[in-house]
Amino acid sequence: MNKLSSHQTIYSLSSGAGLAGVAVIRVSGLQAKLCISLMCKKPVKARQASFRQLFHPTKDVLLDECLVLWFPGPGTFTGEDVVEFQIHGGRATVSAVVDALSEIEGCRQAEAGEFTRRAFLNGRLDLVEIEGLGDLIHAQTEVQRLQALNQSKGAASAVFNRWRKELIGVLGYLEASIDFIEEDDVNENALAGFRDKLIHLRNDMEKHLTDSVRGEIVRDGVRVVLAGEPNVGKSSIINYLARRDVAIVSNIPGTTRDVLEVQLDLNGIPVIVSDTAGLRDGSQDEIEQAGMERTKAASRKADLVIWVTVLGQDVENLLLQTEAEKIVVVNKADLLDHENISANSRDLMISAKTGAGMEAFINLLCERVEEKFGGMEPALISRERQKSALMMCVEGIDGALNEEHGSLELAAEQLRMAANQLSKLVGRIDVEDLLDVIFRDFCVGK
Amino acid sequence: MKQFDVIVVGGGHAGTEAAAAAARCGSRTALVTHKFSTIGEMSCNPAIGGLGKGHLVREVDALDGLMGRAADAAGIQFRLLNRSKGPAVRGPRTQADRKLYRKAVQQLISDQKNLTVIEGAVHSFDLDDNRVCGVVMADGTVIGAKSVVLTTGTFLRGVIHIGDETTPAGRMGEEPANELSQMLDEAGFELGRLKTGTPARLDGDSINWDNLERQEADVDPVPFSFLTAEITTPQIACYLTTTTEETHRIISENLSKSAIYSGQIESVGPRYCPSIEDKVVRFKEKPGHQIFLEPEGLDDSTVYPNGISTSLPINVQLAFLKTIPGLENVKVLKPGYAIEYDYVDPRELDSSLQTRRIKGLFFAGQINGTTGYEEAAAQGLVAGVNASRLAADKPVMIFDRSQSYIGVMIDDLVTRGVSEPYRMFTSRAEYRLLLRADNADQRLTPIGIEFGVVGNARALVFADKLQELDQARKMIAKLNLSPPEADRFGIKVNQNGKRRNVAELLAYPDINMDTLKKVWPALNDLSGTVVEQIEADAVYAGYLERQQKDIEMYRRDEELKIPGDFNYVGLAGLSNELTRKLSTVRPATIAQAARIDGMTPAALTLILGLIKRPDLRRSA
Repeated sequence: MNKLSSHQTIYSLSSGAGLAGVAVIRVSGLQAKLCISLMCKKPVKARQASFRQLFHPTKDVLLDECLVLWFPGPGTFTGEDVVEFQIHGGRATVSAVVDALSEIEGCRQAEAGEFTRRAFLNGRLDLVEIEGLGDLIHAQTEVQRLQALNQSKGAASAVFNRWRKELIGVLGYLEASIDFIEEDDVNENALAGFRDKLIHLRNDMEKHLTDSVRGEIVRDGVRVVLAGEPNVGKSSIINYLARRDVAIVSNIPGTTRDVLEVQLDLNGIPVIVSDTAGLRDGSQDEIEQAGMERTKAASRKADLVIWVTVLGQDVENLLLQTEAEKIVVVNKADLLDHENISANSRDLMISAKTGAGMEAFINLLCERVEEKFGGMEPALISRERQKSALMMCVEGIDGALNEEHGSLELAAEQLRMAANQLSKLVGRIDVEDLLDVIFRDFCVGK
Repeated sequence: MKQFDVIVVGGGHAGTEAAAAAARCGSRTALVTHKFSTIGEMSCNPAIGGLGKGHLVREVDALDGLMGRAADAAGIQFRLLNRSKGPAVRGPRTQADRKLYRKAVQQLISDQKNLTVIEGAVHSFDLDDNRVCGVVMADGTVIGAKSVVLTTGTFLRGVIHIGDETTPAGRMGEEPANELSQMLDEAGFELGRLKTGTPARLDGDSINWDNLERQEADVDPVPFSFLTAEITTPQIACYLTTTTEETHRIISENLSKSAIYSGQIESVGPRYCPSIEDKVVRFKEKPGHQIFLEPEGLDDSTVYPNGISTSLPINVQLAFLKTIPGLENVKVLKPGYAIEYDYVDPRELDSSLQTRRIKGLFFAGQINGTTGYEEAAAQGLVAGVNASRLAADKPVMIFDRSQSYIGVMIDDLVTRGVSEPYRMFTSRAEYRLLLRADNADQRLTPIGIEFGVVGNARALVFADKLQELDQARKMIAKLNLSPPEADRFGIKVNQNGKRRNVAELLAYPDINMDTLKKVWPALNDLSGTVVEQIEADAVYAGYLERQQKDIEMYRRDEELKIPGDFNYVGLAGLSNELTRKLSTVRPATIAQAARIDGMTPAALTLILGLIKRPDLRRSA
């Protein structure tokens, strides 16, 4: 069996599984057109919705009435011929159509991600677009959606390509002043003229690198850790936030021994709130100690820590060490009388049990999270792979700038390396690209 | 019937190198050309070398080729280009006396053992199945050979254009080779058409030199050949002038009469050697274009006006020439012209320059879509060696990109094909810092010795140089300075107490060997070439290490061979375009496949996967 064979046309239910009004079955490959002619009695027009009866390819059995969309390649998602059947969403209907397709020669069920893989192999999507597409499918909040869409529709690639083009442009001038020195309009010291442009370029990249922290956070979610001493009601808070019981709530101190997580959508920003084991001195329980170690680790990685306390406890806790911003909340406000609440107004008083003060608490949380991670343009860079390539690119440009008084060929070497890093992100560098710049902009040839 | 091991067709720069190389390798070789007297002719500008091109000449010389030695004998204005830049991008160049150059090449050819020159025109090949077994001359005689190198230059269906006049010709006044072209076509070769141009030749006595800018030769001419100790040919100056607004006006008004602009020529010319018509059209805002007035010889008043090649009618050429300062009363000896000719898609060749279609048949020079004497010579040498190796049933000589400009050029040609006449630039070489003119002998002479193309005389000179370098390196390794000691000699380095050796000191941009000679007079004993090389190695030391790593990676990919019969048709993930390109180029390795235009990382991974799992390949 050859998984990679293009002789094989692939099909798959492309809408979600389960009951639905409409289900979409996508077919891609050489046989896609044959599927239409075997299963629809009448031909369909390209890129138009056609209402057709759908028959079994060999038996004279009506399967469904559906919309057929026919996209001849290569201008399609996969780069191959593609047909989509929009059929009724019942389980039996879907399986009847899928079974029917399996009887057409050269057709088989697609493997997970195979449509995208074909798109990539056929050059319809670059690496960044695919990463974005993956994120888009998994996007759960508005900000995640925007960031992923930005990458999948090629906006991020467009920026990387623009940078690469600009670098190659500069490199072209550098190379021209090496290779075409005999020409009267080629500048002896090309690098000096591009200093500002290169600095601008590297600063632009640097800005997006700084942003990449935000990009990664948006992709992965803002990490908020609930920490505090045992039995201050952290698990009750997380349950309130999740509106379901994710943590076992009991009044036995040290009940939560592992780190529990719940994912929230706070005004479009994904937030992962972790409930942690309470921190206290002198625990003899090995399991509880291990849990506390995890709490400390989670706090170190956190973007925001909510320190939960109850009245009468210290607000600071020496057991907790974190660089992250802290919000202090005083829980179990239902156990206090009003005079005490007003006396401690600098802290946020809440009661996860009655819900008192929770609205204010959630608003504060939203505010802090938005302040840090929201409200800006979608970040271009959201993955380690992208980040490290861009960092090396900046390094190369800086290297070239440092060569200003040294050799032009060394500066060119550094820029070539820098441009190669951008190519690694999206495409590849090519000496012909360079020559194109040289010949477009110079009158060379004596 | 006469029988040779190798027949070379054509006596230009590719043909002479090919014939001499095959003969040096010990093959009984015949060079077939129309006339012995045109061997070594420079059809275009009278100059050898330049940036990238100078590197090629050094490499040809390192393999004991002719061009460097001939240029050293004929050079009348040596100039080292990019002298102010780093050693990797300096390019030796010289104006050459046409007659002296011809004479030098003809002498080298006459002196070459195992080599016979046959005057005559080749009509076609003698084929046995898909293997070449000789050539058929125009008079019907057959000459037998085990391999044949075709170096036809611009002769394949050559047509000269001057205005609306067209003349079939290989060079001005010489018959084209139409039957050969037809035969290649019939054999299934993918033929294309290219054009190039040349300016009018002027009578130097009619030029007013008084107010023109002089460009002198270098006072210390740097020879091309590793065998040349000193340049003894007298050196002359060239002159610079420029076109004027009036020149441009005349050209613009007569554009429709230019063969290039009237639609008469449709083939592609080189972007880097545009005609004056192209320059005027594309760079309207420029008030003048530079012209180098280059004497064609010491006792020849012909002048080559470099920079104004044209295919305008003769009367228009004369009219615009007279608007150029210094040329007010100029006499034209020969008009400029454009020439169109057939080339074969070089992707028809493997890296030894043998065609895949006909075994034993090799192509070199302009037939492969290149331009330039140096590019032709380098290919000729490679084709000559490999034709000889094939005739002797020995493995061929292949150069890779990390080794030489020759390797870069051949790989570019056979992998990417050409869309315009191909010329060498230093920017084509990704390992430029390593592939320098100063170390061409160390890169290639040992390989040349191994393949038998380097004669004894050169091998001895090379061994001496290696020994001298070795001793010099040992000597300087022992010399070092502390920062305060350096300061006493006026040498500024970081005051960090670290002692620095000669190589480390040379890495500073403002320190060279002359500076250090004041510290260690013993350095005065080193020869110029050794100093040059030690300096270059020191300047690039940090980069060479990184480039070496890149090369290791590249070599690893070069080790991943793709079987010659690999079937690209019907592989999922290969676009039709890539399938077609891969089937045309038939890359020998993964590294070569990666360099095919439009190749995607995904497609490479796919091919790699299939070579590693051949069991998957045929089950599609």
